[in-house]
Amino acid sequence: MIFRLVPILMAALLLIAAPARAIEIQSNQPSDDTAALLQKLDVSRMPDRTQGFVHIQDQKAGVLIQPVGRIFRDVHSIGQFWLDAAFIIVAVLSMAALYFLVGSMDFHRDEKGRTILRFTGFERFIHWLVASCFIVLGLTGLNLVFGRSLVQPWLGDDAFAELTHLGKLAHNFLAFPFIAGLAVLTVQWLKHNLPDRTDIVWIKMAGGMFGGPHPPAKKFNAGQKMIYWAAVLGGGALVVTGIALMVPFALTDILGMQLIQVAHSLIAAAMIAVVIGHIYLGTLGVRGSFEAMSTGRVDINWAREHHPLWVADEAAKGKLGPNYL
Amino acid sequence: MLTRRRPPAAPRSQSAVAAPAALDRRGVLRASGLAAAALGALGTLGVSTVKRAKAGEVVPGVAEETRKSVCTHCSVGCSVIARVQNGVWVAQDPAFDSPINMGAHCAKGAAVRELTHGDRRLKYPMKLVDGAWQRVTWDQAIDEIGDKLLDIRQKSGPDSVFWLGSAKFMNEAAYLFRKFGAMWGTNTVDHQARICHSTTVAGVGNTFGYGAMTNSYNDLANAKAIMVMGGNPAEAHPVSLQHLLRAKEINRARLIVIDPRFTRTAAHSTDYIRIRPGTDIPVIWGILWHVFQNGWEDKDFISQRVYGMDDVRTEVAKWTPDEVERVSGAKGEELHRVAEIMAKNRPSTLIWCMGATQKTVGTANVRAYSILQLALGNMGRSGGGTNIFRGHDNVQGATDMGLDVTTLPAYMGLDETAWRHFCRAWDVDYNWMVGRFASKKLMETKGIPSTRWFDAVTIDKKLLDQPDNIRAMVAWGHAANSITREPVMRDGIDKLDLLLVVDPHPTTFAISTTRKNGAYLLPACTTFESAGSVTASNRSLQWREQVVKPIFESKQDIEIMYLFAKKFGYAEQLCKHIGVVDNVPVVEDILREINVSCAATGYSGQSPERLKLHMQHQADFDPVTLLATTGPNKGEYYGLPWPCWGTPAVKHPGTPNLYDLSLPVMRGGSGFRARWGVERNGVSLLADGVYPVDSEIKGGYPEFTMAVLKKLGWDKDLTAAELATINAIAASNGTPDNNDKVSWQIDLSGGIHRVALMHGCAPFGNGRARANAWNLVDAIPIHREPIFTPRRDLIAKYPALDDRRDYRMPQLGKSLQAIDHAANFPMILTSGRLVEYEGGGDETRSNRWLAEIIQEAYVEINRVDAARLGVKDRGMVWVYGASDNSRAYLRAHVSDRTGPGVAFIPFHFGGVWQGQDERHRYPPGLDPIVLGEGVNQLTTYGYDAITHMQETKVTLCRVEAAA
Amino acid sequence: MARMKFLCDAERCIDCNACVTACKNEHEVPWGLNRRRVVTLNDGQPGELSVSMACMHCTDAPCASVCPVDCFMQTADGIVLHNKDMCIGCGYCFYACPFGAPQYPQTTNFGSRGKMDKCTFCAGGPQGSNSPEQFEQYGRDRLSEGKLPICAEMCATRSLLAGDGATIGAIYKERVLKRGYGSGAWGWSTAYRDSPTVV
Repeated sequence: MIFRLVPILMAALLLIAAPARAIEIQSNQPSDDTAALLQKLDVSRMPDRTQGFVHIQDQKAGVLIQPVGRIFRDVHSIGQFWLDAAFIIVAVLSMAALYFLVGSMDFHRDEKGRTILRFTGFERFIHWLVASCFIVLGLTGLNLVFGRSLVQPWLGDDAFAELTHLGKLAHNFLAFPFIAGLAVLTVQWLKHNLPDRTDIVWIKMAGGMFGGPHPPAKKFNAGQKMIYWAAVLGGGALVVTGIALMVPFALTDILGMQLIQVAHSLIAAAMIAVVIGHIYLGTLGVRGSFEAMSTGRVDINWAREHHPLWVADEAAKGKLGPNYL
Repeated sequence: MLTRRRPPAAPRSQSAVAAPAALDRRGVLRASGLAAAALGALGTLGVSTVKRAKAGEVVPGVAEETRKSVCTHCSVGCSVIARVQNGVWVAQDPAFDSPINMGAHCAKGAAVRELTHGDRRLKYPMKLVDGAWQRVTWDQAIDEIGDKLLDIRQKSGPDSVFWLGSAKFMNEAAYLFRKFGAMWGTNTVDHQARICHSTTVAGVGNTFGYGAMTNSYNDLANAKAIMVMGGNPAEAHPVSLQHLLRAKEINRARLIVIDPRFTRTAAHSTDYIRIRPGTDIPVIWGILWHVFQNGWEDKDFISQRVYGMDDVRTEVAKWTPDEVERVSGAKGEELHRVAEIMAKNRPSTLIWCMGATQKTVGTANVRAYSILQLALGNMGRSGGGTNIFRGHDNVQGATDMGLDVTTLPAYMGLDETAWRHFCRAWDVDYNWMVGRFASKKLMETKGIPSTRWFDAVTIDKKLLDQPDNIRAMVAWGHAANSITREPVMRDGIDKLDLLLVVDPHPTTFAISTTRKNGAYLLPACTTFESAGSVTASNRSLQWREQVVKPIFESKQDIEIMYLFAKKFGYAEQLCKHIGVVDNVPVVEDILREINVSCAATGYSGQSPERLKLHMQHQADFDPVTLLATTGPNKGEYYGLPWPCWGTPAVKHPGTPNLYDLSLPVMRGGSGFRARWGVERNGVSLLADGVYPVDSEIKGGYPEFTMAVLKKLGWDKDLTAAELATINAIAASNGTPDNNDKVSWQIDLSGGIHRVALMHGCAPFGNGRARANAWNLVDAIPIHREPIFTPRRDLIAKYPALDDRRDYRMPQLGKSLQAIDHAANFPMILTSGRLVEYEGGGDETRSNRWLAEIIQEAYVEINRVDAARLGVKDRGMVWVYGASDNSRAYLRAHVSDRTGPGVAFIPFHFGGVWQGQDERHRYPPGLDPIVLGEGVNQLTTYGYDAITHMQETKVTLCRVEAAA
Repeated sequence: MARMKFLCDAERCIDCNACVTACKNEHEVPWGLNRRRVVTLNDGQPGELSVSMACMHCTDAPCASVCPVDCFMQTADGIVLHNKDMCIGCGYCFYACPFGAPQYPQTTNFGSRGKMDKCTFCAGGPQGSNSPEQFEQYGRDRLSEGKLPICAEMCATRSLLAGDGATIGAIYKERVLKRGYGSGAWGWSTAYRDSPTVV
């Protein structure tokens, strides 16, 4: 018993007796244990982030080692690469499958060729503003992920670098009209995209895409609402992360920047996938839709088939002339 | 266009597979291994060896030259290799061959190329006209300045001009400047040593005989224990750490650091002790108390080679562990451990710098340090000694050359013997020289010190021991903001009749004034634009080559001196035996004159030829012993460290470690200098029974005069020519029939040296070191509290000296200490260096590579104090000084580096005054990149008793968080 | 064949910044870009250590991997260089670098952060010549003259070692064994994925 107490007591005594002012520097105490020394030699097997003091103004330089950079590299070069690719490939394949296996959705044209105003000139302008910006943003962004593997080999280094640089400039500049357009788009269609009961029914019936009766919908059906919210939220997330990437370290530290970069890329790929679907449906997938965004006027039967509740609404407001009764 | 990137064809892949070739002996990796001189198979580098030694062209097709110089920033003396194309310095390469630095540098040395690029250097002479700086020609400037100075000389006497020279002068320029000042007619000729190591020189000089580092930086690798007290070599002499760390690693030497701050040096120490600033003597006596208590002193050494140790024992007995702790904060058992380490691991060495010297008791501090090493028997030993790390690149040389108001060159003093000696050496009539001065008395009186120059401007002239106030200040290579009491100094500058700055930069002198006229700036070139010799801290002389010609309109210092001498009418006397080409005196001729006239400090053997040969064959010298083991310099020590006895023909190898009896005198050995006579009060002052190896005199002996030679019968060894010269000297001294008094110091023939050496004796004798220096005001060092101390309870027992008169002026002490400042200014303020900057800082803060690293001034405060005062790390604070309503606005660095109750501010800054930016006061385009508040705005009165050194290391302040 | 590496012996580094200014001097690195820096851990306290850090020229360099224009290359000696003409200044290499080596002239990324700059191990640039153009862009090529990086050649205490990894590893090991202590080769295994203890 006593023998066990002695070392404890000694340790305690040593602690108390340690001189307050004189310091023997432990790390400089030499040892002759070769093996132990050699083991210590290699101190940084994926250590924690090590940060110290630097005289120079840029305090970021005080981070001596941030080993998570290597993890970022794996996530960026491997994870992000393949996930982004997966999103896009899945989107393309699903739409192809839809087209070839299910076919387009068609409708009965009105013999008199009567049409109803679906989207005003301003709404269409905003849509195309956002859309065209998105396409360029998307392509230039994809170039930053895939360009090195897909484009560089046949374009050559100099031309590719030049192209990518221009692409980056475009990506940064077009961000601003994209943001403005997205903001207006969010506001202008918010009212019509709030979820309600018709959406539940619509979803249960898969919008009538795979056969069966066509469920009713207001101005925007559930599918379109999903696109809207994807655009608003996803787009919004892209805007926030994108701006953070444009002002590095102004808002967050390096770990934050790494996360934001990967997030931006993954969200963008998901958005591209969604937009691929949106484009398919808006052109080949659902005949008669495209006119909504090109001329702004859709065939009245198309409107009655796809958005009867909206048509009724419009009629009640007196937007339809006597021809439509 | 490049496709898939593979390594570019030719150079890269060739480089990878080229046959391995051995680097030469000084290759960097070789020097990185522990064994400096022998590391095995480094040849397996596999690096491209296409063109080995010949440096590749920097601009293709243009011829390139390599020039070797020595860095300008500190006293280690690192060689610098400059690659020059078309007269422009285009790149630096490491100087692996130099045994002193072996290619290494610190931030400053690695950035010196910028100096000859000279972005912000003074480009042409400038004159202050109604508050604006205007360009003038050299002729106009010399004329106007000369007229004004002559006018002052005529009306007020030559002592009314302060000639403040520089530690950056090369030896030749320093010597010429001292001569120039003497011929002007004043002893008020000073330089940075006053504010740096003047107390060291006085302290060790009064103990051992010479005032210099005893060993070398390289030799410190032989130490078995190292104590650094009041020094921070990791930041002030970084390359010296190569050698200290070698001792620590190979010898497993303990590295003890005693300092109020946990410095970068302390971070590499094995033992660190924090003490209160200003308590060095209690700590040293505290250590010695344990040494005596345990009988660890070297009794043989003391009985054979030391005088007066018993008086020290009496004083040390008072410093019991309790009293030491009460005064300094250092605990008894800590100092016991230090004493034990130093005693049981000999040779042990003691290193110090400004922490010891810049105090009102600086000389006493240094003497105490020296006495500790005497007690331990560490003196005169490789790996031991008292090792003073000096500051500027040539402060050692400039001090040796007499840029000091108390002496002529070679520490010969100002008495008639000294003056007659130099008049002979300079070949001028002694009576003519006397006539240059206001009086013979003033000729033999020490001048006004640089630390008080401004007081001599403003004080009532009746209080001065000279006809009139200082009316003109010539600041030649010296900053204004490295001297204490800047607020008072500003007054002084304002009141001058004339301010002249001769410098590569305008300096803080140019901006520290509200005067609108009567100021001139003359562009001097840097040390890289002139050739000459420079003395490192270890007393080695190195020869600098001129890397490029002086840039813009700058001129070499010696040329400017010559031009002024012409104006003043004594150019012929100044350069009587010195050749002059296009108004530029020939440096080699000046060195030869030094060889003839400065034998008293052992500068007689270092001829230009020998020094240049050393520089050409640096690789032959061993980096630990500094001895050339092969080649044309075989058997000589690098740089022929002084004393290098005898004429160059004698080929004395230099003295690597002072006072080392284990070597014959002709191989660098000697005893202590017998400077104070043969005996005192019946006790012998000569060594007892010990002598350098191969000495014919088997014991102590006095310094050699003709009388001594004749007594020994060695006068017959003199040649007829030598004897003739000696007799001529005796005649000109007034005793034509009796040459007894002609000593080794004044013998211009070198004969007395030669004969003494022939018989294995050192010309300066073989004496005892003095533990008791009876001629000093405190014969045994005693503790005195700083003038501005927080410990009011201690001043009764440890008071400052009484008020006195010295250096032609009143000097306050006790009366100032009696005022209680501690109530309003409760924190101790200390100051020190940063590695990136040097001195007043205008030159280094103008260097863009250095300025980028430290972009603002700051104050270090302890965490505890910061919490109490509400100061955040990186927040702004006001620091109030205890005098002159001084204050400074600074950024706070909060850490544990400085102890509680102490604040530290680096001193290199200037150009911001009490929160006000003063950049606009510089001539346009010549302001340093970085400006800041300098600590000397806040420092206070307090001067060493012997040398009038300033007390920058301990004063009082108050810190308040700023909004 | 040599595999070039850096090793900073923290037991000897005294934060003198010679490596920093030597690099600036040799390559005329502009204000604001810090190819090499000294970081001090535990500043002002017992256990304080300083480490000089720049590009470590990693094996399997993360910067090279994440670069969208693949402008990096690794020489046969293991030195990681990059092509400034191709660099689009996106900043990804800084996120990926464990050592903070990439430096950019601009702070915002609107358009570009400017051409990334970093330590070249004093091997110049991808052109492989010592032309004035290459000096302008990348700094001097010392290796082709048979010299080693100037930061290590001028280190005040021989703390920073640069050269063949096997050689400098052996020197470091010798030191640690001789003196009996060593805090480790900071960053070595993160960069080179091996150990400095050479068999």
